[in-house]
Amino acid sequence: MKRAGQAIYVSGLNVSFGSFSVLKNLSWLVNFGEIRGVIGPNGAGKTTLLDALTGKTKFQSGDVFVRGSNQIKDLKESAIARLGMGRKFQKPSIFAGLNIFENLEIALRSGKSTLASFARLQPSERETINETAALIGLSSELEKDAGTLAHGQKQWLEIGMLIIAKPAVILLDEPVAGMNAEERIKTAGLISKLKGPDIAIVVVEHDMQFVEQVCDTVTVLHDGQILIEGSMEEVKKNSQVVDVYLGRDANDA
Amino acid sequence: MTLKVRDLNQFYGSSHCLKNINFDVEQNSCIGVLGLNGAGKTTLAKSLMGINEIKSGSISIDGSEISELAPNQRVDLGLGYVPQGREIFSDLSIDENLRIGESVEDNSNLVISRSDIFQVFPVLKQMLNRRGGDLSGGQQQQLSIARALMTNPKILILDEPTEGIQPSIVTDIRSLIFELKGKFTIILIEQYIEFAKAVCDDYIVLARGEICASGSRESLNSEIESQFLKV
Repeated sequence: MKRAGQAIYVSGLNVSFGSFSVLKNLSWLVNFGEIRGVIGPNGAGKTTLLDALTGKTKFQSGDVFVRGSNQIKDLKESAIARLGMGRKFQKPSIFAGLNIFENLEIALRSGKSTLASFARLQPSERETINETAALIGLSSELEKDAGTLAHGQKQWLEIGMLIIAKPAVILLDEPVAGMNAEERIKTAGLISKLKGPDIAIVVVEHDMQFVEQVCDTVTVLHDGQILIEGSMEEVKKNSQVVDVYLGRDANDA
Repeated sequence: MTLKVRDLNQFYGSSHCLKNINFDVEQNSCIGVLGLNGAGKTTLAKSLMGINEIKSGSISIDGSEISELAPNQRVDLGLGYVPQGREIFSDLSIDENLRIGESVEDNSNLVISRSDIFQVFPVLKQMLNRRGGDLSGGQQQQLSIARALMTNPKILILDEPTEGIQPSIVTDIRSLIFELKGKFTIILIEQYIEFAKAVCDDYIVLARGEICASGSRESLNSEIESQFLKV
């Protein structure tokens, strides 16, 4: 069943690498308006799921629809991105030799034709870049080379490059990895600000405090399948989740 | 082994990123290197390993100067390193990655054996012949820690070892470090202050390339945490 309010609808998805089956007959739904956490043991298939949703990895069987009824099965990565799917990878992928403004400019023009990307920057585009820089807290450092930024700032810049392209679905793979406490809090604030009725956000993270703070619902993946879905509070109490993921010591971890 | 760092200075171009760093790590103790992103923690680790050539100063192990040695010579002397960002060999299997660790000169009397490691990280045993590049991020991190331990280090430098690791294995790594303390000298770079506090005996806090606070774990108070670590 697929409806317009559905951001991501996955049905019977199978992904394997050689003889190793990573996602097993997975069915999954994410609606617009929600921030969904995806947690699960290392190797459960979390990043592979994002790879399948963005066309980075081809799936053997199953269906994936984004924004209602757009089947992405045979689409290239670029075509899926044009459908409004944006992704942040585990490691920040920014243009280190360009400054913050230039990085945002490239991202803003990424959907445009080659010719249009040579046109002079319009005042409205400049304003969009400035607004995005303000949102990610990097307004005062627009001229700074991205390669010289601290790790947390690089992550924010990449999130900025994502959102400036106005995606309808945002996939974030470990957005707070390597961040200190203050940066984690700032990132939680930033992601919460992105929430809206026309956007769906998926966050893969191992920082449970962060997931609890940011996500409405949590999907627990285990061994390529969904173990349980629910609020963080419900999920934390599930004994299988404790066994395979959180550990008995979870409350003080 | 005791590690001493004296008046260490490091530059990236014109940027003075480590300024007159002085600290000691006593044999078989664990020191936490704390600080915000960009403070110089990873630069310090790379300087200790010889990946970055230092501008001035001294790094010695049990009184012998090592700052002129190549990274592989430092590994042979007993420095082990788990870099931030895993850096495993993607095209090699788990087994081959571990064997590269085991290829150091003196690997008799391994303090931690392969079977010990497999108890902490069972997935490495289950997937022994899988390509490193086909592992998930967290599994690669486990492999990176295991590979460093296979070099039979006497001083182990861990740069954010829990990054990308599921909570239950973070707990296992904490137990592992606890077990290793007393057998190895450990330098732990960590963003999760609670994790660092749980395992370290002493700490140094870096800010803008300088040591701005140091002492025993008990002396790491909320004032230092809020001023330098933004906890």
